[in-house]
Amino acid sequence: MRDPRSLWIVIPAYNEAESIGRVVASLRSEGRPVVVVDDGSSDQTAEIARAAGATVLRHLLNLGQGGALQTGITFCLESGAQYICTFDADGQHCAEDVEGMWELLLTGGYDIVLGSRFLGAACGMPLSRKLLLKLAVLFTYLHSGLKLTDAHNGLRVMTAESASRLALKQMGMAHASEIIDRIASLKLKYAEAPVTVLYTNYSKAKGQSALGSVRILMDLLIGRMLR
Amino acid sequence: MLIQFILTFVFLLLLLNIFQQRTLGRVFKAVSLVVFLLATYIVIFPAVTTRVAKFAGVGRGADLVIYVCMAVGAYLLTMQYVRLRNTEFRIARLVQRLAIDKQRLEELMRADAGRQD
Repeated sequence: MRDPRSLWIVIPAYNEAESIGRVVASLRSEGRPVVVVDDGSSDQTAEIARAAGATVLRHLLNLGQGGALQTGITFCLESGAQYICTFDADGQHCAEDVEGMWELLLTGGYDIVLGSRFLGAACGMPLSRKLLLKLAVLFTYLHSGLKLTDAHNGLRVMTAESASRLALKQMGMAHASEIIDRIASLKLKYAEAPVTVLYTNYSKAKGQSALGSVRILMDLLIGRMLR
Repeated sequence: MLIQFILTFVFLLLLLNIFQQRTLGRVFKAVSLVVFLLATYIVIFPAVTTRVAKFAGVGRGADLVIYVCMAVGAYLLTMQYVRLRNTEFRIARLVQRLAIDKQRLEELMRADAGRQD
């Protein structure tokens, strides 16, 4: 039996008071350490997450999802985590999918396992969303050469070793592309696993707009110039 | 002409301002001095630019000056933007470190309080 405490969950959260409680509780019930990075929220996100049993790190300023993710990853690594899972705060992901992804990581000897809603189920996904995500998949393939079915899924399970090598520089939403880039350049052994993504009105409102992808492209270009 | 006096005066003020800044390095000040001398020379002898413009394939000297200014302006603007993003990046790294260290401090304080009980 694997020790559920060796897999740490990182949840970046910005004003997610409505959903964070349920998300943390569903993960805590499986006995895993949960780290919520409150990215400068102005609502009760931190208090609710802490009450639900998560360790909460708070950013004094809003940095963006990538920045929050990296803070959580660094904290987990410094706390001696052996495996790290990234998870969305808006309730899109299912806690039950984590175990299967971890299983695949261990049995397949992978460095990182990426969740794919297109291999699994995407309940209630609007068509416009599907088109945008497929466009992102095409861009990812052209840019990094990685053939994925879902390029921007927040559910990932990785070894501590690969997490420490990712070293994300993108503070905003471009981190998803950056992770794929790093997987390609570090030649990490990766796999995709089917996961369920639930589209609720809440998560749809929280999701990225098409305009957001322009911003992501811009960030990726500028990211090359940062130290 | 009046404009020549005005421009030379403005350039001189800028140069003095630059030389009074202690934070600016020697190389920057030397480059500023060269740029100042060049700009003043062009203001006093504008006919020079027309000959250089002809050589570069531009009709009038004034046009060449505008093109060069636009190119230099665009370059400086881009550099400033990259510097801004770099500063933002460093601040972000600080915010990240602070979040983690604060949590560690709280953990230590809790452990300490537990020992005293």
